[in-house]
Amino acid sequence: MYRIRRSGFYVAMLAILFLAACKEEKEGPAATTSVTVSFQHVVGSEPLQLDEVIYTSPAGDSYAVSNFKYFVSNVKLISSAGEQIYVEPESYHLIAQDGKTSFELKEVPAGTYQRLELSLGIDEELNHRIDHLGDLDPSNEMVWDWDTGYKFLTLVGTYTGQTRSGGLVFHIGGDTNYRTLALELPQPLNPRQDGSSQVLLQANVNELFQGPNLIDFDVMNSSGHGSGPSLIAENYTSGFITVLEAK
Amino acid sequence: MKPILHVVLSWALLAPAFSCSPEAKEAPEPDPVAAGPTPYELQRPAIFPRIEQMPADNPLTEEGIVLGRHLFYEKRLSGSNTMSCGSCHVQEKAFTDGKALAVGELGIAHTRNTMSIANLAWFNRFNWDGSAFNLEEQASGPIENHVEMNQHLADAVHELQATSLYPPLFKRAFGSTTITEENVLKALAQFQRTLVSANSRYDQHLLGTKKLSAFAEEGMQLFMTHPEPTIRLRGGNCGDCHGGTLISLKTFHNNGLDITFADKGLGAVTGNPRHDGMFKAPSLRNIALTAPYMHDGRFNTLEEVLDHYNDHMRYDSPGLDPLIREASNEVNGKTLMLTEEEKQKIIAFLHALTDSSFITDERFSDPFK
Repeated sequence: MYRIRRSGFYVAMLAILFLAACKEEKEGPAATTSVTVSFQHVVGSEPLQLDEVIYTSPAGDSYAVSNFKYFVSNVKLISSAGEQIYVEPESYHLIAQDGKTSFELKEVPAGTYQRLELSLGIDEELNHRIDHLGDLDPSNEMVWDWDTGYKFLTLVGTYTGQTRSGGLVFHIGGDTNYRTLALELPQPLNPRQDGSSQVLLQANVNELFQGPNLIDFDVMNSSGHGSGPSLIAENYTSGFITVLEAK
Repeated sequence: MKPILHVVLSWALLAPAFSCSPEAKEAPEPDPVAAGPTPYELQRPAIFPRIEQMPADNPLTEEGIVLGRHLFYEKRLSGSNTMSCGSCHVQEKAFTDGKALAVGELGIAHTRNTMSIANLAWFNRFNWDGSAFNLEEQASGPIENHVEMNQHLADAVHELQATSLYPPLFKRAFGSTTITEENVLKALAQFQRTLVSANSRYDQHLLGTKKLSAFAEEGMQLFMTHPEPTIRLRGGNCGDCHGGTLISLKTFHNNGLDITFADKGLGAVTGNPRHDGMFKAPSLRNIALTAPYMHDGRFNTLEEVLDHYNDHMRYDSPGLDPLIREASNEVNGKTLMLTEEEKQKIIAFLHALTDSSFITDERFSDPFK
């Protein structure tokens, strides 16, 4: 009896595994494709180069950047009438000047998309967990502590202001500074089946320091907690990320 | 049902998961010898990030790890057969030696302090200066360096080949009794990847199994916080470099020890003068066991380390990290300005990073004893 039951189990498992392993091949190609989202970093009108170049801030201070990273999360593509929404699964991307500057949205259904939505930072649900979705990593450079959650954006460098000089340390995090941006595409995107479609975004570092809040490094050259990060978060909600093209 | 039949059926079950080709549907003949070494899966502790270092051409196997453990404690790897890796990397000190500077088999001091070995599968740059990118590459350095083990790897291979112990161990791990330099390094790397330390009081605290004392928990908060004096948020500023659950962000920094650099650290590796005086911010797990401290072992105690960061920082050091320069607990403060009690809290937290099961784990110990 024991022998029969055991054999029967193996036969059943074999059948299931064969089905599981061969299922994909039996189906035709799905009507989905991929879209690449890339980021280009600039300061004003100049390309961002770490360490090498002295830039001028909106308040007129000189500064150099040695480290620039931020989390982009919960990316969506939304069709013209809003009737079709693509939501990227496990959508947590650490974009870094000296690291990853693009990612691929996978299995995007055919359609006409008019808007790209993304968030800066990590949503409250995952911000305080030690998890491994996407680029979330409980020991990467964006880690803070599990009360505050992740750093959403980090900018480190040096500055020379009108009255002072020294280091620049902007660490922006905290659930209140998680912001969602809705970016209109310059023209509707019909993702090509060969996966070559892309959306090119630009992040302008100087926009962190203006509009609406002008940041004078003589007054504020480091910021991790309190009201400082919120001033920068208000700035990164407006004009920090723009769409250069969608093709 | 006989065990052998279990094996056959298990293989048959696994085969289609990998392939749908017709030949895979046939149950292969079980042959434990030809099947090669037994794969070993390194468990990721729940609070750890993804494993960083697991090269496709050197997967962990039980036999490879056994071999690596023997090699790690094998004195034939040194020129005079008097030192093994384990001579400087002593398990009870979390694989350090208690000396300011490592001393090799010729009795000559190295320029640097012996680094702890723990959780290296989660790191991607090795040595104080980041000069090695994987553990296979790293392992040849100390063996061949004349102020360390002072042995050409080729000579070590000859010596191992002449023993009765090693050819069969290599056969089991890598399929051949002929020992190669590459396989010596691979086995050492495999063993080192299994040296996981994740059972400290800090781990237990994060997992919710055993809380830290209130004093040490306040130390943890201070440790992980960049100070923000404008809102009276106090911080020890340690986590900017030693953050995350590995207690290292795997980054390199000039931490204000000197104004000139006898040892350029990362700068000597990259050739970029901006990197002069930058060293790896190592994991501080088991830090209470690994004195003396810094790349050159200049501080004997954790108190001295805290005093450095709090009071004796060289703010005139060229390229001092902005994360340090811009950290004070007082508005416009020139130094970090922690109180004595805050320093003691941070030190209490550092002691909570000690993992006593790690330093007593039989699997990591000297097999020749």
